[in-house]
Amino acid sequence: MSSSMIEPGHAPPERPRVLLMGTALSLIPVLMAFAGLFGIYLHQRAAELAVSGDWLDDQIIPLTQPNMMAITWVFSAFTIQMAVWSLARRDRSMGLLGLLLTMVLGLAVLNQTSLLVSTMELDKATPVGILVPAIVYAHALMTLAGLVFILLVSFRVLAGQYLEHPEGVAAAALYWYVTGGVYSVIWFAIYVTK
Amino acid sequence: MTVTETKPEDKASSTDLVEYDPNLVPLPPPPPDGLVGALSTYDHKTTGRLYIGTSLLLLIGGLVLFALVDVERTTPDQLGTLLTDDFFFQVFTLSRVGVVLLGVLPLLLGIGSYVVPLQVGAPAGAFPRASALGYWTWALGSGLFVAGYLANGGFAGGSAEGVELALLALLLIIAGLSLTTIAVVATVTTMRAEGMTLQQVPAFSWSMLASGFIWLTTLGVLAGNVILIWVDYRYEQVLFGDAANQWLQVSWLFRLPAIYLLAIPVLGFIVDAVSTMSGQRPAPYGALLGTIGAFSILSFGAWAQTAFDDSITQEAVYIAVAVVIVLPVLAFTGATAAMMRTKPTVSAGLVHAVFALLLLLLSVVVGALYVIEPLNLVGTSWAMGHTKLVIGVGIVGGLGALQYWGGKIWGLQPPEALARLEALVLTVGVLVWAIPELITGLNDQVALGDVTGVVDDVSGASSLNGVAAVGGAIVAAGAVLALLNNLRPMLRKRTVGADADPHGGLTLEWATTSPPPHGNFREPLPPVRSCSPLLDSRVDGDGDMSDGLASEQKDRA
Repeated sequence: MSSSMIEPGHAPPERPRVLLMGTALSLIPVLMAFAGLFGIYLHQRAAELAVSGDWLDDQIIPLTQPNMMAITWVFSAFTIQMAVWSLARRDRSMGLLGLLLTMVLGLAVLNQTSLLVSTMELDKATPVGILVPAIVYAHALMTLAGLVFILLVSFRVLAGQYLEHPEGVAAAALYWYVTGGVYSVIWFAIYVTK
Repeated sequence: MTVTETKPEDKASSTDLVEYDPNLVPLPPPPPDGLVGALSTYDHKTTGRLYIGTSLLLLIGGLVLFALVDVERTTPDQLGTLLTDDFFFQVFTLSRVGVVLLGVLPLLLGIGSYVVPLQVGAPAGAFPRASALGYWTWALGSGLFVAGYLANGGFAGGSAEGVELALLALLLIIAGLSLTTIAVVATVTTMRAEGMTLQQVPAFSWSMLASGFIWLTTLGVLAGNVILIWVDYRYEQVLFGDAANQWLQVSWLFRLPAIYLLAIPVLGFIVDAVSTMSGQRPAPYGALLGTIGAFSILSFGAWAQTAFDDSITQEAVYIAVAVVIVLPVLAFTGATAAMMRTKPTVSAGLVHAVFALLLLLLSVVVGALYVIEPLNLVGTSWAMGHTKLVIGVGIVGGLGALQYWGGKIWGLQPPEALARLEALVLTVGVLVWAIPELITGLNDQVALGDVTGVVDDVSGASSLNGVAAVGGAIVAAGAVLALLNNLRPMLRKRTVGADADPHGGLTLEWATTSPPPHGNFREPLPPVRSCSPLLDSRVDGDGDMSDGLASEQKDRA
């Protein structure tokens, strides 16, 4: 039986955006994991500053890549919204273009993260030397998961789904916005404020 | 790029199939039976059964280890009677994780995974494949976690590979539990029967919704802690990955207030069991749901991480939470007691429910006393007594729910007499297990887990620790009784063998056969108008759903 068919006799309830709800729910533990990590980071930072008055000491976190990544995230928020908007109007070509651009920008973020980590000069024998890589790598993993999500959604769009009802693309967009939102906290709390 | 604007599904047509509607959930074909079905399942019922069976076995293992730790504490000056000094702390941590994350929580999640779609009138659970993936991820993580300990790893373990394996396995456990929890919560929020508002959701489903949110938030923070421990352990072991600090960073999960997360679904089960056995609507329903919600919010405890701020137990917010949480439990108890005025039918499920409620009352009072400054109980084994009581609530309530819905889950009702004995054994066991810890706590015995391997030799503590060990053994025996009670129904072929509605139930799970067919309900359900839809149909006389629909479905099956 085709999975798109329903057996007679069953009365499935209306589906108020199950995938969107599932995505939102899956973001709860992810967000809480970052909240916990940020909490520990800020707590350690405050404690260290209170004792020694110095947090990063002679350790270096460059600002060029983080700023470029922030701009890339802003651009990618526009491109994925373009995909949702286009698909809701049955414009599949523009929708796919938006998804493709978002993936390219996401890969650029990962590339810049890799460069940033290689240029950071952190002492791994200090708490900050552990906390920063842990948070940055965890976010890179979240970004990678988002890219896989967008890729899967793109295949579905190619197969003719999500036209007029772009729920899957909206779910991917929600995930992407939240990933960008988490980056904005990392950018401000770690890279800028240090 | 050439693209087509025609949806593939638009092309499909058949006279005996309903045309695709994007607002309707497509029902997948029935999963295969037997082992292949279990391995490749996307049926919420099979996933629930797998969780229940596996977690019962792991719970018994965890309880035995718990008792073993207590036995070792009977000779505080001679650690090494049963376990070596180093291994003692590993067994201690394994027993805590084993009982909470491999035993009680997945048991409750398994029951929720099975019962919730039925209660809300859904033909399937939301994200059934993700839910099944959650089970297998959790099962794999559990196996690897134990393997990590067997390789001299785990928290504060001696083998680097073993420690890393256990930490990564713990992340798998968290991921698996989270996936299935998401599926259960999404079922309640998006797949309810026509007419069923969120305020009319059955109490157990509501409690699974509330606990789902708390579990997701709590497990997320725990994952953050484990990631940090693992990263530091791989590099320099400066602070977070240091052997002495590892357990401290996750121990908040096993203490007040986070440990209460095990009791949230039990509240929902208590309401369902008491209202069904009393044959009356749960009332005041909004207030009952409100107390469950309030209890859930107060049981979020990821902020109380003493590893980073050991003065947090003296903070006003910590004290307030520990004391205020008594109020929703008192209100809940009052409403439940009012429902029982009509002399309910005393089934084994109800006995479990009442015992679980009494244990919860005791545990919140013990928790409130813990934070009262003049008593100086913080850091003593009083905390362990409290933890044991709440774990006891989860065990008694969880196994009670398994008995209450046993016929629905297995297709054969587990024997009532043995289940009553099981409830008694478990409750007595929990009291004998926990009360000695409270007494030694008053005598300032240091709580285990604050420092690796420390066991204080407080006057009289040895013998009381021995009593606690006996209590632990009794609880483990009660869990074995539960396993034996469910063994025959568990292993039989899944055919309709139990009454569809043996208790005169009020909620939709009793309107289908035991076990339910593929798709859960063979007939479209009439619109739901209240929290007790089956009682509505009886009162209205417009077709007794519990008798008519279910027996018709049984005939068809």
